[in-house]
Amino acid sequence: MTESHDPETNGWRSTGKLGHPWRARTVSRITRGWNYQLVMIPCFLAVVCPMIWLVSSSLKTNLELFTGAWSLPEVPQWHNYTRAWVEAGISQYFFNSALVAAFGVTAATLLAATAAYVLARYRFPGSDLVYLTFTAGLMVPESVGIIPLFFLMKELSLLNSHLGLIIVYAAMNLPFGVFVMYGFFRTLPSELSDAAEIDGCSPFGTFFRVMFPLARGGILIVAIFDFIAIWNEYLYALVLVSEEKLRTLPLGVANLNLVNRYHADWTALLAGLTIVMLPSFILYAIFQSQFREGITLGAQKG
Amino acid sequence: MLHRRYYKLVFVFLFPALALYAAFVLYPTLKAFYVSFFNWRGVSRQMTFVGLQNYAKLLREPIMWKALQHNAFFAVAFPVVILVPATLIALGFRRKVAGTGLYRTVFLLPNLMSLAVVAVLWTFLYEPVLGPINAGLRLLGLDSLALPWLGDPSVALPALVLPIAWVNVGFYVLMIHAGLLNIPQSLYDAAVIDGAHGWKQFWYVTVPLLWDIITIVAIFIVVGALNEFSLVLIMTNGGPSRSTELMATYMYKLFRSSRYGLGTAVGVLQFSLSVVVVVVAKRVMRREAVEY
Repeated sequence: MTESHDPETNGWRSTGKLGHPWRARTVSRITRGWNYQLVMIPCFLAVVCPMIWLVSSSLKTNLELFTGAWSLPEVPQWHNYTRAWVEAGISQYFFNSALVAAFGVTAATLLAATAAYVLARYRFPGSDLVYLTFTAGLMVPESVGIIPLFFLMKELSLLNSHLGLIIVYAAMNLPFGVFVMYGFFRTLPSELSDAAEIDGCSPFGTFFRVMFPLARGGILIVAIFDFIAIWNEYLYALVLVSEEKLRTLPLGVANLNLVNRYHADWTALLAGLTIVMLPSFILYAIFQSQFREGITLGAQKG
Repeated sequence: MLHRRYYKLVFVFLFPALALYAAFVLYPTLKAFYVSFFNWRGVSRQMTFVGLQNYAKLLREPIMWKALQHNAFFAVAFPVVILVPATLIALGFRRKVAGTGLYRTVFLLPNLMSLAVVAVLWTFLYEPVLGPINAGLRLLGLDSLALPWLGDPSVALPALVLPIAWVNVGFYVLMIHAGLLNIPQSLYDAAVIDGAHGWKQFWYVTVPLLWDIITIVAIFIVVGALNEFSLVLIMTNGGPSRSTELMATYMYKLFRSSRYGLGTAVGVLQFSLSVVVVVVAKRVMRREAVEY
């Protein structure tokens, strides 16, 4: 290697450095578009303050919560989290949610990937219609079919069961998954699958050894969005699950909120809320670019 | 045409997904239309065909009209409260104002929270005596503004707009920003040469080229307003004295009181209104395709 590219010394950056003293550049970077900050800063505070209030209040004593809404906890009460986890039953709800999400996400992602693969790469009578039917599901509001679905699940004895929730969650997340994966499989060059088949791969082998790994960027996006949707879902869980010990986290905290009107342990409830939101935030911290890409893809579905 | 050797693959790959989707999404949705023509209290033998009577009954029902008004209020309020800040923020991102990276990360956070969590959190924030919003207002000496937000029929509905905007703004910022990034910088450079700055640039370059995305976002927001449910159910359950009753919460109550035919008819009306909104919006907001 004779050439090396160093962005610090090559190209326009270095001339920029010579042209403007460091300080002037920094100042101009901060003041650039300052009038936008008139919107940005209030919105930033409006977004952040409720979350900071939640976390800080979840570490207060119940007395502190009632005496000063804006004060900080004197001594962080980590005990609130153990009370939420053990006594308020959050651990059970957490386990239920994790179970439903794990199976629901796996099923929704795999089924969407395989279906989209076939629809994107093979032509057969009705293939366009099937794709259209799947994507039409993106436009159907969740509440329309809820009463018939309730009775369907009742007939199948899938009310009050995690299996029932997993099946419904997998099905309702298919439209988004099929839509995204269809786009991904469309862009993969067919030379790759042709080459695999010439080398003796069966159609199934071609998918699992070549095409599926190549589409993992899309798989990841679908899995993340499915997880967020399932982890946070409230309406279907509310209608399909009534038994206390089968409740998912959103149902659990909404119910604790009701129960607390009689049995006031508010700080444990706030700790519970924090526990529910953490997994999504952690996922977001790790996979930010996938989130952005997923939303950008979503913008095209109109 | 499909070669024989792929039959098995197509069947094995497509059938499970299609079957699941047909049984648990398509079938209940289509069945809803059918059920809405029956008087039905749960046991299938008790289903009696009543034609359009459920719909006629709904149109005579004052609660239904109230719910419709409330949904309409959301459908007008949300585009203003969500679309305007989201567009301004996205424009700021395009200018790469100081802190863009931080803002981009933080603004999406509320969208990742469960609506159940958001609902309980905002119930706390709005708490009339001890809640931080009213405590803050009193601290600023604005005691007269420290209202019992969710307990007062005249302010409960507007008070619900804030948490819903709080959840959604960040999502639409990203969508609009993605649209802005597709507008080539050269057009702005050309506009500057032609003497267009600030608002002129916005109206003559940004808005026409962003129109498709704005249309989609507006449709999303209005359809969302017609189908608003979880947050309101948890925060006010349609109260006080039905001042925040929505079509979806009304449907849920009919469901809980075993009036399945009538409840499903509400759901079908909601769906039909959504379809009307999409069709009308696409008509009204259609412009000549802009190409420069």
